[in-house]
Amino acid sequence: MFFLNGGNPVNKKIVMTKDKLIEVFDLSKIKLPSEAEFQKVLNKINELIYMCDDMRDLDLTKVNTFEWEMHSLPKRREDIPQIWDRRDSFLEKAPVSEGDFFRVPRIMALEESSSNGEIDE
Amino acid sequence: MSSVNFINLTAKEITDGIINKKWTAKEILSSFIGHIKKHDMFLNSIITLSEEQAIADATRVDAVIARGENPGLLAGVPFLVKDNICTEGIKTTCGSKMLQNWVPLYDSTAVKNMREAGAVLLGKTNMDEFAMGDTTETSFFGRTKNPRNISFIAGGSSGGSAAAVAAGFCPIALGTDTGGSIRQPSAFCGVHGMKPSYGQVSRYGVVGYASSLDQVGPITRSIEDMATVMDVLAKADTNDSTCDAFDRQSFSLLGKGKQELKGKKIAILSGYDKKLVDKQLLEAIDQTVKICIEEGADVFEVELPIALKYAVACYNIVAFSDASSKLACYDGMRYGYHEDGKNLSEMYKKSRSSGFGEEVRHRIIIGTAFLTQGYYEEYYIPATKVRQLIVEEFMNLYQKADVLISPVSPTLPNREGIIEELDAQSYLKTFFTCIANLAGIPALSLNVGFTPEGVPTNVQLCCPRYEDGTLLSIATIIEKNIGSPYVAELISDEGVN
Repeated sequence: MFFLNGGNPVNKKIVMTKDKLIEVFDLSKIKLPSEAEFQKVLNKINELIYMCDDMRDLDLTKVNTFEWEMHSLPKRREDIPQIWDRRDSFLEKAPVSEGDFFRVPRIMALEESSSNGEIDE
Repeated sequence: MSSVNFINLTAKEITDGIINKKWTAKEILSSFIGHIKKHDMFLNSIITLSEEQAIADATRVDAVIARGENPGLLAGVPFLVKDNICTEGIKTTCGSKMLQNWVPLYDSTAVKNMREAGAVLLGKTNMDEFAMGDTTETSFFGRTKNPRNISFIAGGSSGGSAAAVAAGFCPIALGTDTGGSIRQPSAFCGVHGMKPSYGQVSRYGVVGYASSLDQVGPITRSIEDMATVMDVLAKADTNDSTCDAFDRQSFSLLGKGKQELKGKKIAILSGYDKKLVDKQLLEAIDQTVKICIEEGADVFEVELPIALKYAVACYNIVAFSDASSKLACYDGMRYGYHEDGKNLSEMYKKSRSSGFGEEVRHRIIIGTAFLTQGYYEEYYIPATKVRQLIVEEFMNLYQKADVLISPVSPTLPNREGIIEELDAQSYLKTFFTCIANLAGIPALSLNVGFTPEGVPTNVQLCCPRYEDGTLLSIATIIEKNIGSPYVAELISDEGVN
């Protein structure tokens, strides 16, 4: 293991806990994995947090957050409606379409009936 | 039909021959397609070969020549594109199950500019899934092998593009670079790769990993070709608000002027533990420094203490947080692979958990964690401030230096399947390249030869932001002294070397 400040993990302000990580999985819309993979992610985050704790050595109170500077801002496009003639080719790429619409799985009704997410015929 | 072996030609030589009617774009294309079909089944550098479209492009170039019109800077030059750069009518998978069947309706600006310059699009190259990795082993489509030695990894994430150029499948490929993804595979495969300044090249139509770090750039076997590609790519674009609108210089014309290093101030990066860097790579720096001194440059050592201490942590927080946000749209409904669920939340989770591979899932989770309350204030905001300090450290450096020389990676290419722990060397592995992305400066991985065993060696050159032309000029002089990398010898039909 390589630590830049030789710091002590006990002194970390915020470690990632199992409960918090379960919340993060939910926020990320990713299923909870096997216990082994869960532990692997937990270790990765805490290793990274440990590495990041070095930044606490710096006095950042007078430092601005980073922003890109540009020589010359891009010219904006004119706000003029354009005729878009690619609807048919766009719809051709849809997994399922009907008329001028994409068809997507019917979720709201399924939440009530708890049946599977099939495309309603 | 010419008896020239087209595979070994540079883009410049190909275009000159087409314009002078020594050969046609279709003859060139046929030769490259044949070479790819013979060897790529063993290298796996290409995900989609778009032969029909390539024939149409080459036919168009030949017709333009026949009419006596200007065919463009890259007339008839076959090129390949990393599979996270949109191509109209050609699958753009990002190396992921999530987008394995996605066909864009438009060309990215980079691809559009290349095709308008007469280049012939051959297809799409393999990559780490969503550009997250440095081996091209996380691709849903299998790993890419290194054409210099197939037991080595090709590097990543633009491993397919670098391997293809090294194998002679094309003289030019495009990659993207978020933390070294053009430069490290170029180093491992023995070719040149450049990450332009942030804002130099449009990112419109690039499936982003981390918007404030990503850039599109060229991979070539000659710096002259690289300068020509930069002339084609580096243009203002109203479709990308982060692409600067200033008038660019001609990079290829710079290369044609008198080149000299006399009076140039060249900084050599120090302050890191050199025991962690492979001896051959330190020797490559010494060799490059010797050339610079002989050419009249002033050479001195510099340290970048803030970057050295904090860059990798800062980079990981910024990149992973950006990624968690960028990849939120792949939910199985708006974009990407879909699996049914009992309700909306379950559908999202099933689609994303099956559609993304392990490394991508982990980076999304880590990035999301750093954006949650508490972690955001404690880590994300400080990281953006540390990034500002790193930018200022580079600005101070360039008050006294024209270019910074460092390794690209601390190691020569590893053998496949070696799982690396988070240790000192893995920290340095990202450090040398990610500092250029954090600071937005142009950086070039320059091949400077091969070890007696045929393993490529290289150095990284970094110049101030928007001094991409200076960077290419300096690289041209070093290349003139050392020579350009050759096409890898793919000895048998099995691709074994």
